Amino acid sequence: MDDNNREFNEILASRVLPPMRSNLEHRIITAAHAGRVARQERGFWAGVQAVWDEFFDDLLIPLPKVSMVLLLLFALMLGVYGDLSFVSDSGAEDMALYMDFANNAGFGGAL
Amino acid sequence: MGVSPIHYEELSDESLMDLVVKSDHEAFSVIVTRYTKMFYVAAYRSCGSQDMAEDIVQDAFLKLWKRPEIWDASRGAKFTTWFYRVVTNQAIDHMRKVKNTKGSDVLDRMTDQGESALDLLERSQQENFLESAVQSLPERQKTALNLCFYEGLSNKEAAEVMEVSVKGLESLLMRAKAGLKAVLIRQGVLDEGENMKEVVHGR
Repeated sequence: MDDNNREFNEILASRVLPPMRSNLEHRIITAAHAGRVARQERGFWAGVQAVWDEFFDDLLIPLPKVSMVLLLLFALMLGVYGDLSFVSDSGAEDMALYMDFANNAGFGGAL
Repeated sequence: MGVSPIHYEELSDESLMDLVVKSDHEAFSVIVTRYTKMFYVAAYRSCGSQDMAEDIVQDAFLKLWKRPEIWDASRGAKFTTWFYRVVTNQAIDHMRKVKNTKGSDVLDRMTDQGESALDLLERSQQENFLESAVQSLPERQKTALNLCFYEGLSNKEAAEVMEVSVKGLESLLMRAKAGLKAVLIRQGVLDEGENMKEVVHGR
């Protein structure tokens, strides 16, 4: 059993690894430096744009969370603005009664 | 009285990270130079693609540079252990984004070391079977195997990276190895006695 395990481990250890490209470190360092210079040179609106882009870049990852948040927001909006009749039927009737009263009450000529 | 120059190469990882948090680019460069290769290996083990592994490592380091506050020295974790977690998570995110992952690069690599075409085919087939088998493992089992077997982390360190208990890690390792053996037997690379078969045309 030990021999078998050893052989299996040898097989696992034979897994090939292609070499890293020699300039990867340089690319990372250069990219980081370029990012810092760009941030320093950008104006206010470019900075706002960058934050906006970063926000939407991050949206690519947490899709389920975003969907849930959007759904909750939609449900909230529906709850707040779902009923579009700002004047209720009973309110309209009350107004009609009031106007009727005002027109026909007869205040002894005071109005 | 002038300020004495900082010898960045002599600083520990944690000291360098304290400087990176203060946007010290030189300290960041030393960290990158020190660990790019190590984390490239870890990333490659996770995704099986050279291009993707380089992207993963680059993105992880750039994320660290843009938001150094994600490193919390007060937690007492070693930088390497913590960054393994960042790279592992980055690899998982990358692989989820790329729907049609290419898989391993094994068959794309050619050699000019004088191997015959048949030997090359045999070696490529064996390598490809093994790489495919590892990449087919469930994510957490693959990560456990990569960290313990290939990266040489202790069980305790690997458990810390994966945020599981040591027992949980050992269970993942056991299942990973059992799963690999089953896949390799199914592919005909291992026989029931777990000996490597000759995978050669016509023999």
